[in-house]
Amino acid sequence: MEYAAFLIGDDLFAIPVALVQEIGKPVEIFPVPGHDARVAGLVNLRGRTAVALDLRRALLGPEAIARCRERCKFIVLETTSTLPRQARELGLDSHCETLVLLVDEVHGIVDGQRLEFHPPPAHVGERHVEGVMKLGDRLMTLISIPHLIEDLMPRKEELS
Amino acid sequence: MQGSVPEGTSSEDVEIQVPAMAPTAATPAVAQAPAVMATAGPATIRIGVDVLDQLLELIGEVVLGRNQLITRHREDPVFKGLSRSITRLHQHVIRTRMQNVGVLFERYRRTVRDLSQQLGKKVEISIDGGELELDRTVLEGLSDPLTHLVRNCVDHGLETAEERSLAGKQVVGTVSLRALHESGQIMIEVEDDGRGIDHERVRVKIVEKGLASIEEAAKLSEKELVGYIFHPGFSTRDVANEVSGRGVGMDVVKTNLVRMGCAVEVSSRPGKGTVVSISIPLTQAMVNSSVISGLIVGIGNHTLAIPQMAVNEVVRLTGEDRRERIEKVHGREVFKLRDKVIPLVHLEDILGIPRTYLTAVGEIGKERRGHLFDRRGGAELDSHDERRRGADRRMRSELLIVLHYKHNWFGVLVDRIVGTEEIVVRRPPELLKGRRVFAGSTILGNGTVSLILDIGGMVEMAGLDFSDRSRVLSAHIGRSSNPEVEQRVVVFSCAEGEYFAIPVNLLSEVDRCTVDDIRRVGSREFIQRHGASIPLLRLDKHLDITAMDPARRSFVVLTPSRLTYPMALVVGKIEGTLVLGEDINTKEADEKGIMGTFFRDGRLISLIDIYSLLHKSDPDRYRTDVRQSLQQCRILLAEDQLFFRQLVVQYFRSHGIRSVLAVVNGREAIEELARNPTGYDVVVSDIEMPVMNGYQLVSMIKSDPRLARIPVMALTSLEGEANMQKGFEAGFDAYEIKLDKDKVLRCLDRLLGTASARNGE
Repeated sequence: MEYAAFLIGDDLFAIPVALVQEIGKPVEIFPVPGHDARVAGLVNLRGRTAVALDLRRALLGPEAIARCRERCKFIVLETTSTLPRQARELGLDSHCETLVLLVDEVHGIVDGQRLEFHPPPAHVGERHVEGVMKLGDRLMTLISIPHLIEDLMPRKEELS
Repeated sequence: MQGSVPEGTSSEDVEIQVPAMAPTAATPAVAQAPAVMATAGPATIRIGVDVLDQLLELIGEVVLGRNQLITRHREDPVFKGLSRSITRLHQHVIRTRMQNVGVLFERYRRTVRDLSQQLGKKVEISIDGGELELDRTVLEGLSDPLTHLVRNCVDHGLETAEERSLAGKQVVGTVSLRALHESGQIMIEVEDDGRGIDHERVRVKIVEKGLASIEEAAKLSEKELVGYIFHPGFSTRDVANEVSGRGVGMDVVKTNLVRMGCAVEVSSRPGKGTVVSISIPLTQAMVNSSVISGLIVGIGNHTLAIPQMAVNEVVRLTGEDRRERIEKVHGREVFKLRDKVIPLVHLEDILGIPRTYLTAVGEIGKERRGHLFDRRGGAELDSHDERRRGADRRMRSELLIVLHYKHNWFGVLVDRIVGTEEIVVRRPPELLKGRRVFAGSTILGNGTVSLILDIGGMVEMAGLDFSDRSRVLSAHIGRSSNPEVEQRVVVFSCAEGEYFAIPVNLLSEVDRCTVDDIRRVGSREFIQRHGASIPLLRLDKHLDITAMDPARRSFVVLTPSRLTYPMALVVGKIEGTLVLGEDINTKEADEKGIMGTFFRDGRLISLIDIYSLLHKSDPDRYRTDVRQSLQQCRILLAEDQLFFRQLVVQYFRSHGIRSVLAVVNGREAIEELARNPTGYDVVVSDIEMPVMNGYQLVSMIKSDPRLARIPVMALTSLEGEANMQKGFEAGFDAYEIKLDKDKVLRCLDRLLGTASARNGE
């Protein structure tokens, strides 16, 4: 499987490239008042409204965020229904609506077959960390989008 | 996309009814009973819901794109044609997902009949508001909960015939199903006139079930007690029977409805009956990508939309207003709006963001006062404020938006008003579903993504409790709570002892200003409003009345709504509001600009006719050219509100049209037409009227061969493209909004022109 690798601060992260619809330049983000800061806001994707996730806040700790510089790229994800069949056959899943990931920089596309894959370290509790891969002498964290969204979803008791 | 409604992604289909014959433009679709539609045997095809959803999504994008181009190509005939097609296409796509609530309601006739026979009770069902349309998936979602509620009414709510006659009630019990529009929400009510909920019995049950201690239970209010019927396993009926009442009912009903985004409320009066009201938020009730009119407001750096139908008025607060009209009751801020005291809430608090204010240089700073009420230097200031004491640098002129929710009013403070816009409503993203304050999102004409506020959600987040308490109170004061039937006017004065009135719904803004706000150019006066300068009109220059004291420094500015050329009246002081009676004397109204006079509490009050006044003030600008032949035309006017009836009649008369007969509802209009089918050249009708509404009237006219040739114009307060479309589909030949009178006259001219051309063939 191929992965889209991106940088947030100095850290490398990756998601399966099949989930990526397009990578683009940032457009204006309209923040949602009083909402979880991991949701950066809403964006106008050529007439379609999409939620943009601030991956810095979702993936990094506060000290790491402070070190980040102002570089932003948009990764637009496929929705569950537009996911290519091959991706679904591999057990990949996305969100039911179009999502935009805000990342600092896109690193490139890497072929997973040549990389060593390790399960998440025992002391990493976050469910959205699916594993760690070695890219040269750097470590790259594999992110699970469904788990990431699950963490951001309003919980049942808040709904009622 | 419609995540809260349980639906499969691709397996679910919608049956679309395709009329067997090509529909004509004047098909009276609205007035048709659902039963008729079923027997007509329309052809149906099955289409996947996902296809329809994509279609909706796409047409939404098309409409958005069109809206962005409108300002640039307003005059381009090609664009205008395209735009009209887009509007119609949009309506048709929306309709594929819409269905009358009546279709669902009718199903319960059988439920009630079967069940009442089984239980040996005499029960009638009454259905109201069945013509309201809802998204099909929402309607399906309501089906099970409503079945449960209806069964509950028949089984638990209503007594047997013997019990009823013993209690001195009508032997036949009634279950009422109602659907109504309410501040942009749809309300579904299930009511019975049965025994009501026995509060004491609920109290006992709560203790028995161990849900509360005896002491706690004793303290519960009636409203809280009634709320317990939604608790799992709660039933006051001791014996579970096969009909209902296994105690697993109401909690499931509530859970299912809440999952759909609805709110449920119960109120009950012992011996009188029980009402369960389900409020469906705007975006749930409406098909995704529907278009509504929105008031676009700004708070901090956020832009938000408020459904226009929930907005009563906008009040601009000056520093003086803040001191004099805002007070605290038990630590909560209230605002004195004419004769009302309304709760005041900050939009920031509702949204959960820090309060902001604009500094002198227009930057946004954090609000450091706890409340607007906290006067600088007051006891409640914290040490930080102590340090900043001195000249108040705040430039923020607060805007108060008065909203209504189920006939209750409240005020919301915002930073700015951006304008009003027809917005394409999108359901809120899944990730924001937990925030009930957001009804959905939209993209504005300038590309800004804006969230739409939900009035019910705002009320909830602001912690406002509009319970029966206030309703009882207003009933006690003897005021009708139905805004449709009463005509409220603002009473004001310019000089001592002379009083004037203008209907509240003709005004878009009531504002204060000082002499410094008024700019003069020669003899003309202007004021700055929402970034534009608006000419001011003084009554004494056009009417024979006493002028305002030249030394006067503070004024009230009244801005009439829906003017082609905006202007405002500058007057002295607001005296209050009152409800117009039937006692208006129009005989003495010989002067143009005064519609009539009436006495109230010993004061003589003159009702201002804004439009004639405008015409008088600037004849060139507010002039309407009328063909000589138009003056000969004979008009039948159906309008239930006395005020509008007189206004419209007088307006026609002022243009030389002598033959105007006014009736008060559709029934009277159709009877008059039956008596005298050739006596009228045009029918002008309101839409919302008692007994027979405008839709019913027009479909009766258009289906009667003797009358079908008469053009019918809707003159209504129902705005928006959707309503307009509905009007045209019902058979109206023209659709005008009260009270853009110039347009009404031009429209009349056009109608009669085309009618005579057609009839002359």
